[in-house]
Amino acid sequence: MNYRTIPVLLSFLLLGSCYPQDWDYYYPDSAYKPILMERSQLESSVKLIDPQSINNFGKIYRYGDILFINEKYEGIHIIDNADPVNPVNIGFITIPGNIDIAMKDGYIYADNAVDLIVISYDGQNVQVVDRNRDIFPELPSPDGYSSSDLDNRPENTIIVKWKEE
Amino acid sequence: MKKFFALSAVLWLFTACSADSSSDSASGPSTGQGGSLARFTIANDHLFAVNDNSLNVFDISNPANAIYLSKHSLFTTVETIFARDSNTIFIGSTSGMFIYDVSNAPNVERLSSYQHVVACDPVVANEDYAYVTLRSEQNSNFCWRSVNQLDIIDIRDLRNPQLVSSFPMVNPRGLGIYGDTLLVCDNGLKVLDVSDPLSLELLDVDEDFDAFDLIPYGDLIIAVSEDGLSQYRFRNGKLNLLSKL
Repeated sequence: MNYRTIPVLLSFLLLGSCYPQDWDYYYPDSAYKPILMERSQLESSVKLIDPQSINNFGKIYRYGDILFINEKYEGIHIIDNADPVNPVNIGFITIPGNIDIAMKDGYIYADNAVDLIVISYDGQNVQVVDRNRDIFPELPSPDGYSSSDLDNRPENTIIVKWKEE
Repeated sequence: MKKFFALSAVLWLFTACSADSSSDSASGPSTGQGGSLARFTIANDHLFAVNDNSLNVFDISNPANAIYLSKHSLFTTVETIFARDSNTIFIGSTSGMFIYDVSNAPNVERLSSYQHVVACDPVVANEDYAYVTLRSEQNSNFCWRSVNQLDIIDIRDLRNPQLVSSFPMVNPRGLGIYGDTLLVCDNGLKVLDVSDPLSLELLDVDEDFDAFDLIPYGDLIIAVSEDGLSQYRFRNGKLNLLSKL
């Protein structure tokens, strides 16, 4: 070590003192735990199933007389809203890691965790017709934590939700 | 292939002149309508998706095929996106509101930014004004040391937004504009007459429904809370509850 490196080291120490807590320390503070899914499973899990009870109301989107309600991280409820006095829950599209959608000409654009997918929906069937992989960063926890240094993380896995511990 | 591109360019020029709204028309749905907390929106043949600190642009001129075109860094945490019309989008971030001209997407031009204190803020806008709610959130790392208020910003010159007025709020979330009426999720669903931006009048409030976002669709108000959906018919300044889900 020579004298020139001392100011450099000193500045690191000073900078370091601005960030007294690193992620290893922070991470256990999150009230949430990440749920991982293998990519192959993620890509084969978009399906239209029977109506589900709505437990965790997320964002809403209207397309004509159809109303979509996001079930946070799980997918979208399909509501027939032709009569707003009597909205009818008619189905559910499972989309792991989903938060947002938009729709055009019968096609739904959705975040499927880190991917952006295009789903054709004609009222009867759904089909994933396009997939842009790894567009979005991994889902952060609801209390603002990231997963960047998860230990012993299995390969080819993606965070699809955060669960309260 | 070249022909195809030339044709789409011509079609695009035509649609760019005629398109006027991001919501659907009487002739049937082409695109839908999200709430003010949406991070996805469609304008013309492009899908805009904000997340983290980026604006992502996709070509959806063939709606079955989303082509990833570009990513624009915004250098702040982006929360929401609102397409006021086919050319203009408003982005709500933790540090302010950004107005973008997207008529030449995938190239997007930032027309202006309106900076404020660090807060969480969705934005909606009409021709003359943008409405932004600023909210302090206790349990978030992103939205701290801030205020709870509604800002009304004059945007008649999109390149030079000017704060007109601010009003204290309790804990504001999503909002929606319907003519001269502003609906705000703020410890219930509030209906405000905003015809005079300097003096708001509370027309009605549903204190029993703690909505976090809403979609105004004509005089139908679709509102969502953490544990339910309520729909109202809005008439003569009053909310008439139609249904709950």
